[in-house]
Amino acid sequence: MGDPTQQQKPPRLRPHLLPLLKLRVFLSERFKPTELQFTLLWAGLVGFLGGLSSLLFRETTAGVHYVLTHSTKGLVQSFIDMPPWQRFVTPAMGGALAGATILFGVQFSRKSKSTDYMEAIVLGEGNVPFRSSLVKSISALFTIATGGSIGREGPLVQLAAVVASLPGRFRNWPAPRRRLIVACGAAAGIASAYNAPIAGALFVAEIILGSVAMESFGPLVFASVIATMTVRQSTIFGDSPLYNVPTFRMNATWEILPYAALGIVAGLAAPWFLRFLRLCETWFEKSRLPLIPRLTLGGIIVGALAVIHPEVAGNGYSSINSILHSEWTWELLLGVFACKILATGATFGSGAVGGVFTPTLFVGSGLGYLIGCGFHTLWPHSGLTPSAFALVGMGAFLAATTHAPLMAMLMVFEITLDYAIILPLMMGCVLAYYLSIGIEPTSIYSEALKRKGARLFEEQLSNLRVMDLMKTSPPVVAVTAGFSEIAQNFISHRFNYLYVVNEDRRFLGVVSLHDIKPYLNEPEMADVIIAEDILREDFPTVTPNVPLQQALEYFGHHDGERLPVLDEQDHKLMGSISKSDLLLAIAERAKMDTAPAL
Amino acid sequence: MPPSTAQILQPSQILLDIAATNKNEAILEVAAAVRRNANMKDYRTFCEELLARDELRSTAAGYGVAFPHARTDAVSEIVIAAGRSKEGVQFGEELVHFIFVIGTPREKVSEYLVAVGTLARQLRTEKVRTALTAATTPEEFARTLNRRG
Repeated sequence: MGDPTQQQKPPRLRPHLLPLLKLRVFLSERFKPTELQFTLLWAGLVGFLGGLSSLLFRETTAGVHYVLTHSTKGLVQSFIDMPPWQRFVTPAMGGALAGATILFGVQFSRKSKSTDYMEAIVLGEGNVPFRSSLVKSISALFTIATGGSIGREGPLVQLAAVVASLPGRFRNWPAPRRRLIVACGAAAGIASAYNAPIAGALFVAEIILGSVAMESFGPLVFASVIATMTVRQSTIFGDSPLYNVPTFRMNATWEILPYAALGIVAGLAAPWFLRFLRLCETWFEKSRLPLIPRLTLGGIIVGALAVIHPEVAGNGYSSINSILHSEWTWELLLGVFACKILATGATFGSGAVGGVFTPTLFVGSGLGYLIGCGFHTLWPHSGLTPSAFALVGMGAFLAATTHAPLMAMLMVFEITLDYAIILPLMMGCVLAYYLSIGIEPTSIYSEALKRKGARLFEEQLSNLRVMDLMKTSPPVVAVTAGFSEIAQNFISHRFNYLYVVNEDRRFLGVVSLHDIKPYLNEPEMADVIIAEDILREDFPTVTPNVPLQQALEYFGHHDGERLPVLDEQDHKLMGSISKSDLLLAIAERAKMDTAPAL
Repeated sequence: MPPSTAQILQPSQILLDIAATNKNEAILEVAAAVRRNANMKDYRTFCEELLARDELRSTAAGYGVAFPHARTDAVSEIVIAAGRSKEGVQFGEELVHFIFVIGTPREKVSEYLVAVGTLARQLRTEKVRTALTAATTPEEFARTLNRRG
């Protein structure tokens, strides 16, 4: 027996900790918080930051546009006001600046890391490199501000995703949760780019995750809503939809048939649009031009087209708006439509950073408008107006290029807020989608992922074991830890079970928050109780090689959010696995099992 | 519902004037009162675990009271014994006059906390300690705890 004078009294529970601990128990019992609920809070924060980064990007683009063109107007209007030589030079200058940014930025960013947020979500571990993403966004800024025919949603989503990847990296989250939170960033980016929260969440769920499982869809919705609320506080959006459309009206039931025909045409045309974009890409690659001349050439082509039709400048937003108000003759639109497709091919093909989402909407609306003009000529007294066809065309073409009909329907509905259009829109989107997948099995987004080996990831996922999702270094206490130390741990962490280890880190059991609850009012207990006294040894544990499905079964008999992961040989605590991460990983696997290969 | 402390603490398990002046001896002297308890399966192991637990961290709770205790497989149900020392026994830096030895089966964490919690709550009151000091018989000692528990 040791010398009694050597024994130390445990530190007394500091009085100010008691109310905190009581609050902690109250919250834990009333709301039974899980990791998923906290993921929702992170999703909200990511949504807010995504919204802010979106506003910042827009303002910066407008600023750069002003510096380079001395115009505060929209892209198309400022191009109309420019003399022809300036229309020609501006996109070329933007291409050169965009290329120089990438070339210069490469030196500051780590090589051999993909910046693609989709890849980070689908194939990677949810890490989007910060510096190279910033370089890409600045490059996109120059292309967009100088009239490049590319969408700003690309950099907006990229920026939101990079912001979203930070908490996961700093908090050392397992890959499924990191991927989910980056997906939330992407949803926030889309939602804030188009003032469309439903489409933002569905874009990521349908195109990137391929699943609307509630484990992932809930946080996506939350991030989208917060991002939209954030951008709506600015003067850019307010509460109004992105596009103001004239009221749509159907006079007779048969009028849905022409819209079905539009869906069929869009479904047939979209694969060719995708093939055209890829052809442009291949052509620029084959030219073997260095980066700056290549992007400059892309700009020169856009500039040359803008000399003829200044409406090709920019992502196509203002042109869509004017198409929707029937301000175009079909002859003029046909010219702009052809030039816009060429301009998009030149910008995209040259390797400019940006999205093709809004240009796709433009092509869809133009196609719809032209077909609408034909039907309107045939039946001038019907409700078949070209602008309504433009709306349906947008949705149908989007559905056919992205292979995401649900997102396309809701996107068009949200950016116009015209409920009357919903029936022809749904009809057009579904027909276009089904026709296009028959012709072209890869979507505008899946091509890149296919190249990067999604199948490899599928194999990896089916072999996942507990060790792949394990979070290392969970908080622990020693058997001699006093009540005060235990209480402090329960306040600092939101777990209901605190792991107890010996000096060799061998797992001994847990202290349950609910066991100590009745004694929170009795500070004198702190002088008597140590972890050893209230240890629960019969706590379920898992080993690192256990497959995920089996680990889930353990959770079926256990009310906790986490399970300790122990070394098979010496029972040392290696880490912990959370139920939420497990559910997310299994939801991902279920999606992979059922989804067609990309 | 677990039995109350008073129900568990029988007068036969209360020693009003322990002779030991050394901590370990005092713990063992009080523990001896539950040696014949029906729930005691392995008295020797029980004693070893009591001393081992006190070795980890002192079981003195302040105000002259100590709760040497063990969660052990050596008992089948909770057992409690009490000892009073007029001169006091040194538990580390603390002079202890009341020693409550508690043994609980390993899996019964809640019952252990109930027992220690109830006794700690009662004994923090000076009035109770005065009454226990003044008790002349084990029955009176038990009644004092019974009245307030």
